[in-house]
Amino acid sequence: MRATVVADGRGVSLRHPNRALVAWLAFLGFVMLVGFGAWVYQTQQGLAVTAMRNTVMWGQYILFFMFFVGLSAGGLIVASSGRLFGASRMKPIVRLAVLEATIAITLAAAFLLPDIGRPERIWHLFRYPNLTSPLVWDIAIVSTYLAISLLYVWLYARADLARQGSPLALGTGTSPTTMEREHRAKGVLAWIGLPAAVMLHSITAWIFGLQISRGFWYSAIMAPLFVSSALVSGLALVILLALAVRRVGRLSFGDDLVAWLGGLLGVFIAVEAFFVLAEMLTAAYPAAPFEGDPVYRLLFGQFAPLFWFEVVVGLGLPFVLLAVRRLRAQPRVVAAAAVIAIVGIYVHRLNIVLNGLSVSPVGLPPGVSIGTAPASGASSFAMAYWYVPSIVEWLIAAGILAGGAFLFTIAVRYLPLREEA
Amino acid sequence: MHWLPLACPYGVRTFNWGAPDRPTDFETGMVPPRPVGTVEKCTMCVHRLADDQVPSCVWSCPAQARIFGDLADPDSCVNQLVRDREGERLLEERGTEPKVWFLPPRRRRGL
Repeated sequence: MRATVVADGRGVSLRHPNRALVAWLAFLGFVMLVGFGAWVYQTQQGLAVTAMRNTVMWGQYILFFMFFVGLSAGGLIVASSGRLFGASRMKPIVRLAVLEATIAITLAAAFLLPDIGRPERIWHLFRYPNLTSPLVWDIAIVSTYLAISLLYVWLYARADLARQGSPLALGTGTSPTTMEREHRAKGVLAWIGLPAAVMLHSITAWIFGLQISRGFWYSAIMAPLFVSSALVSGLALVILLALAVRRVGRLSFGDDLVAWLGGLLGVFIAVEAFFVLAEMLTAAYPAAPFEGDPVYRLLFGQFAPLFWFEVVVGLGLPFVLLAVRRLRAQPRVVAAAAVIAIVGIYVHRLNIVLNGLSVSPVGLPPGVSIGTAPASGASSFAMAYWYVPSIVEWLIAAGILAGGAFLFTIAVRYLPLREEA
Repeated sequence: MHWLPLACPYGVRTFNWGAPDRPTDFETGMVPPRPVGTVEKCTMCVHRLADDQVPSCVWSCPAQARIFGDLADPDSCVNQLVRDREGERLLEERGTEPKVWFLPPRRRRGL
């Protein structure tokens, strides 16, 4: 019933609110409010309310930042390469991929805010930039990329908005000359969008990969590895969202497209696995890694369960599911593989950040100051630290994630997602 | 985003995670207390140097374990000590050129 209302491209008017939708949005709004409250609390108390300390200086915020940068870069790479390399079968999901990329980069930027100790000083980054700092490069590329994504979304929605007489079309029409110009602009934007997406994730990788003081991160494979993880998680999320949106009747495509995308995801997973193998072999081959070495901790030590989960469940299992033609012909299997792949990439990033930080690089007692006064009897210095996010970090993360779901729900509801014939 | 303290392999730079917790009534002395949410590091008591005094930790160490001087001057006492007693630096192989030298222990005499 609703699908027929929607099919004319006008969406459902607010006069007939859908009860389930309203309840869903109200729930998300509540979670966002709680998250915002947690952030206000954190700005008042300082970052001491997180579980981060001087030894493990980056936690869940940066983890989610990388993760969403990856989801976003992956989405736009999928969308742009569909256009650039003539993969016309991707056409039904290009708009969705662009939308996903835009919302994901917004979330990534949002995850940087709570990680800043003095958020009111964020303008210093723009007023007094240190151009040799990869962080400044990253802020620049995130801003550029956000602008490109928004332009992308607008360009794809423009014609339909103009047909509805929406002011959001900014006075552009649908005459043949305008459509011709739109077509060319899409091509140009794909040419800019693809390298921008690759750079976005490479620069995020270089925040880690250029730090000579952290041997575990200081590696040339960091950028390629980040791009391949972006492709895996980004495509997996696009597949999941496409299936969800098709279910509510806002998008239509055949199961053959799902199978084709599943095959592509399998290829991306294989590339990712190859990079992980190349990295670990290079790190572990020259000598048996000594205890306390990040590679040792990853392969056999504290992080081994997470690492082997990443390899066996995160990469191996979805690859098998997607490599078998009969299995990937079923959208349900592809969806399951996509979920596992996203979780696997999250764990992969967790291994990079936390394992790279969990032990101090100088081997001289008593270690690095933790940064807070300990309970009596305990040392305020540490060589190693096991980080588990605090409740405040979880609440803020939940709030930002709910914000993303909110934006996506609204966008699916009111933006024309179907490619017109 | 406190990248700065993270890039330092020595753990010299620290982040002020929360409000200062002072178990005693000691104040911060000649420097104003630093605000929450900022990064700081040892300044080698730059405010005392301007006054021709050595850093507080050097001045107050009863065993005189710390020696402060001008590394830029090849004839300074610190440079002589580093030469004579074969001083070492942490993570020398990383080429980070830290300004803190460690002198190896001397054999005890006169016991």
